[in-house]
Amino acid sequence: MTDLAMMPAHALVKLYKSRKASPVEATRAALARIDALNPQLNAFQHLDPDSALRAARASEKRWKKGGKRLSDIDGVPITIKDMVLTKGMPTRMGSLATDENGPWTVDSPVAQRLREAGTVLLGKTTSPEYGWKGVTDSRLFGATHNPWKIGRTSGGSSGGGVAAEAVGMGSLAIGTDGAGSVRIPCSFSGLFGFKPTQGRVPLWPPSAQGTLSHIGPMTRTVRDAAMMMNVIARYDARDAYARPDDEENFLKGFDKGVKGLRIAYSPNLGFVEKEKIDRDVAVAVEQAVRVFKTLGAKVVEDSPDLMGMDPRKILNAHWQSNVALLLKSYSPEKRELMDPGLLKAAEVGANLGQEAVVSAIHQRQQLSVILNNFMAKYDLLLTPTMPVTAFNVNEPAAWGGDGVDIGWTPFTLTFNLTRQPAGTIPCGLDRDGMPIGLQIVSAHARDALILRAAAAYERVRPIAAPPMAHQV
Amino acid sequence: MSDSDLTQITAARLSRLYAKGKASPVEAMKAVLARTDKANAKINAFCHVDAAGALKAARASEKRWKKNKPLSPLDGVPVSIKELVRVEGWPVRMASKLTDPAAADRDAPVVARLRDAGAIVFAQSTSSEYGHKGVTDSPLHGVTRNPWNLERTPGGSSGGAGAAVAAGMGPIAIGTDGGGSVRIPASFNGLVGLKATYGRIPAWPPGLNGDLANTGPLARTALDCAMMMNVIARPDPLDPTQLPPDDTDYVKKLGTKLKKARVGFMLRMGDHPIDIEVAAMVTKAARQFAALGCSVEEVEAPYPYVDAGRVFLTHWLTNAQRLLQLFPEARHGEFDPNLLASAKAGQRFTLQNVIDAQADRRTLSVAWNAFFEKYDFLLTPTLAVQPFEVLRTMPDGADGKPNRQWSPYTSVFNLTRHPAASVPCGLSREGLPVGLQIVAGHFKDAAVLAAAARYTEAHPLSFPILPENVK
Repeated sequence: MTDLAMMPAHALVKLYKSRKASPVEATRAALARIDALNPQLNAFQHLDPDSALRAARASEKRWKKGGKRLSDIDGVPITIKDMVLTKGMPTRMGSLATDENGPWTVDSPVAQRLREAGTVLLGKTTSPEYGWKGVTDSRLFGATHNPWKIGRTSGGSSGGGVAAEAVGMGSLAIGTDGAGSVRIPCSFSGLFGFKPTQGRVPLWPPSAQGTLSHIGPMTRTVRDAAMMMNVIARYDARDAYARPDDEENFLKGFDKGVKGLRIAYSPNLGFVEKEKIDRDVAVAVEQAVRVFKTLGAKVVEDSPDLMGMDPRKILNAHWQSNVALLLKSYSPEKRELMDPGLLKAAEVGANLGQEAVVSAIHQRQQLSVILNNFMAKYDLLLTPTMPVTAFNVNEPAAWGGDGVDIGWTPFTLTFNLTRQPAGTIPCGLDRDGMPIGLQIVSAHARDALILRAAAAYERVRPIAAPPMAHQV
Repeated sequence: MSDSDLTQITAARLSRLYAKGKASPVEAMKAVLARTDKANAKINAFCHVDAAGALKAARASEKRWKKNKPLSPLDGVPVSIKELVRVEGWPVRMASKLTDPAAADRDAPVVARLRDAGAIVFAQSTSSEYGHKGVTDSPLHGVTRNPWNLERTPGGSSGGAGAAVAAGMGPIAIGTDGGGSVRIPASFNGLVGLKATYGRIPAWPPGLNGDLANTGPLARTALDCAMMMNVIARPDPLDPTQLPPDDTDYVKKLGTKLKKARVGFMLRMGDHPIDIEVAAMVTKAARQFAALGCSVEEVEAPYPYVDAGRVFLTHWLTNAQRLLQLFPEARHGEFDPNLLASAKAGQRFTLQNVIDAQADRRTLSVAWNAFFEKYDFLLTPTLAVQPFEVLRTMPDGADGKPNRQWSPYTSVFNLTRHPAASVPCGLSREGLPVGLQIVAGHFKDAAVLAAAARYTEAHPLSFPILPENVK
């Protein structure tokens, strides 16, 4: 029998329905994988097998004859990043400075929706402190490794979630994305990842990163992400930037393919220096673009004219100054416990000057107008997700950087500034066998179109599991 | 309502007369232009009038109505546009001597939509410089006056728009609201003015005040505002912050009943003075909502008013400071001294102040969101005072000292992005209009207009021809 842990969530629930498998069996399978693989990967900040099995048993009853299931993903084992509040489970924000004693009395909207949907929460996945960098290590938990190669980073900041998801330690994962933190690890670890339109998936408490912050699914199939969106993309008044509830079904039109869609392909998004893009990445992305052509999309190479603006500088000014504020609320003793890189970023942020930050806020608006007008001409935009592939663990950034400059992920951060939806789907492996991601972007509110296009690509280029996933 | 004077009837009425062939867009446009000739000399509500273009557009509209093929119910209705909003072919000076006098080469989204709908974009209304204050005078265009009393301010910064509609210089107008600039002149001129949910009405280009600023309608009735919303609340790729189109028919939704609505009533936002007549009139209005079937209870602001004020001011002044970077220092002396002082005050804020204000804005927005989970509507005065003398930025208080807290009710909803309208709730003993603010949860713009309609139908304000003696 196939391993339930590696089965896509949408296939798993079919087995529940025909009673060929049960949520308890699926949860046990995931827990077995955690026992076997987590010691190498270090993907979890917190695990609660007992409460998971309790939830699974409750779900099992709902799937039995006469039972009433709570959603299409009732009984599916999931993981949630350590940045997202969960009732009854600690949320440490990857930080020694947070109180280990809680109290953990309240769910964030996304956790609440997933609970109401009957999913089985296995545990909380690792994050660097406050999700501050694009890799995953912290003084609280150490480094999380890449499921494709121990010793490489899984990416970040939702690095624990992808490491877990890639090898079946859970069927669905929730990450957060302030500059690329869903898409970076999905690109580095070979998964589908989706940052919805800002406000589509409500967020609470308000993030220090304001409207740069997003929450999204990280999955082994695109359909699973769509099913997850159907649960989490619902209005919640606790997010003052929540979009109106349109009860969108993200599976509607899911199988329609990309024939006739107008797609722009931008190898460098109009501003990324050619020499910064790894050759293997450039080639793999180019090949993926060709696949879209063969699927009948009208693809043209085109890049937005950013009028000399550099999204990296705009993003840096935003997040560095926000980090400075965040850290202000901690005593000097607590700050001693924090990642030196985060402290350095805060120091840089605190010294940016008010005028520079106010200017960056205005530049963000200008950039958003440019991208909006660009997207008025196209249904979708394709770019590399990352200019590089996964590097060694315990390095805070690509190219030997210290992480204070987040500019090494230029393709993702641009769409945190503009608040557009953006997904990443694996499109090949580099010379070392490390995954490469293709980024798919649309205009605001066209989230479902990205899922549909990614699904079309996935049908001809299925997402592969890392070799490690087959060792159990 | 008599139809004999086409300048004194609403857009909805004009539209019906056009449809019946009892009046034509050319007649209405001519009447409005004639009215403008007389009244504008007194109130200075317009800084630019395009009579030739207006008549040409009116003739085209007339042909469409004759063929029974109007572009929309607003086809042939004269509309003025505030000078902060781009109109292709007109200079858009932002009421500033420092800006480029060249004509704009593109319409703002609302202007484009109004043209698509056949409305006649005929005049540009005055503002304070960059819309920075709640009254309307500028070094470029001088003082705009309130047609109800020429010694008083029409409020601002959309004071030209408010004064024009009250004076019969076009039944509808477009204003902008970054801290109350649609609602303040609506209140001071006896009009309905709506600041919609942020992003509901697309705007371009991004202004100095980012996502505090909203474009919005001013008119004599909620119905006219609803007709405008049906035209201007439509998507435009120029605005990256707009909400997804929801195809709401605001006119249809205007009939929504108020019965059983949960209404919170708040006379004060916090510890600030309020004009005794304003207090009495707004309290009466709240009771009238109860008579309309609402459950009305007194409530308190869920977030301290003083802190919300500081958050707003931090945003506002640090944004104003950008003007100092945008224009050469040698010309800073040409700014309105009040604006220059604001911009310089903005420079004194630290980065920490700015970041704190952003974080506090998020917190207070969540607090107000929670409030609107409990209440369908909030009622407050629109302003704590009656229209005061022109050429002042604030009135004197009862203690004889300048009253800085004359507008404590509006700007918090620019921070929270909730929809908020001002509707007239009567005239004071001096014969000056007083406004009631109606606020609701995000995306409930149609509900706000429906509440405004229920209330004003029950308690209409009758409009004399203004200014007096200009007939």
